[in-house]
Amino acid sequence: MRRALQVAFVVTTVLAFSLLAFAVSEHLLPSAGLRSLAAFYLSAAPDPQNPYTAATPAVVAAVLWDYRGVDTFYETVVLYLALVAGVLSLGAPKLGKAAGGRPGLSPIVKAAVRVVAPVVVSAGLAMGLHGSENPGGGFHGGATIAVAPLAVIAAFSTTFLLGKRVSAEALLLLMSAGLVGIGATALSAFVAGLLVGANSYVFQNLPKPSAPVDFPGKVGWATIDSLLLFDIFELLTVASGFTLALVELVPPAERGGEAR
Amino acid sequence: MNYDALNAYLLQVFLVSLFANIALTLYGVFFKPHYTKKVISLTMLSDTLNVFAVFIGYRGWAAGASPRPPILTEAPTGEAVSRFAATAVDPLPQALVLTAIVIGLAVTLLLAILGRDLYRHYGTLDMREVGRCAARA
Repeated sequence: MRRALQVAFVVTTVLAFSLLAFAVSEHLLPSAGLRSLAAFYLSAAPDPQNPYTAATPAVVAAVLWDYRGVDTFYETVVLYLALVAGVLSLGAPKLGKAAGGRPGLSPIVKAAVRVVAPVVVSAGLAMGLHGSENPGGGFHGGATIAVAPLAVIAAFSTTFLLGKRVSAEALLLLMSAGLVGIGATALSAFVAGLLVGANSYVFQNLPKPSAPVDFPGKVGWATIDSLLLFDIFELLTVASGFTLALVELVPPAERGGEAR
Repeated sequence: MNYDALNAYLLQVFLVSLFANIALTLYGVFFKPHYTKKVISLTMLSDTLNVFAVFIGYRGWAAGASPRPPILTEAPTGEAVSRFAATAVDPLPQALVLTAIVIGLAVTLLLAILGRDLYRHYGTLDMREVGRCAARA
């Protein structure tokens, strides 16, 4: 009886959603046109001649860190607070005395991780640092980099990672530095505007018609704008935050795991 | 071949599969007794809704041009930007989904920590058993 009710729940939900979708399919199925806000973002962000340009071909990055930067800042704050709450709840893991017994996974896996982990970190750095002009960004790069400590923990153990001086305190410090960097970058154009007496905004990237204070944008071949700085700090926050979460949730083994 | 009809049919199939996924994950959240399976179902529900949000930002095939990702892959001349704006999909849902993913991760992290505390306190993650223990206390 209970099983029949559960199956009925699934079938009814699918049918109800399908009926709803059929009823509003005229509005739900995508049309060839775009909403006016999307048309604005796509036209303004990559066009250097547009007064509201973000000077980047990656429009999603421009939306994240230029047009709607405050959303992204608070999203990062939420992640930060969740991790701080985790550390407060569980306590910082300490490097225990490594006991004998299980030495982690097999030597073949360990050798593979030793080769792959630096490659993963390099790929994550490239993804994060080129995020303002290519697919990717600080979050993607940071999440990719965090795969390396995950592989190390799986192959060697948390004890091994903590033995490499990767402590919860250091990771929390890196996270805090990343968040402070995001806040400082967001305020920099605004503070510069206050200092020179010009109109400026928090999270301002490039000059706007009513606010001339800005980041340089391009210096020669190099892109020097707030999107790059935000991506770097977000990468730092996410990579150290995810590593901290892994260290917290996979405590050092009481038995086994190797310290070196 | 009628590409418009094929396009509409495939989008409908995609939508119905999303709804099926939503129903299955809700089933997991409500009816699976194990805490870990509930959390896994919740993250899958979150991912399904994120895909749904990206779907909302998709655009139909205009005549002779398929939808493109919102990244300009050529020099930003006026003509290139106009062509790009005429074919690229809506970037806003993609940006908001990225925000939702990060917040979802924060929620999952807190749920994982809560699960660990539950296990330490009750010695099980079977929610029926946890409910019985809580009722006895």
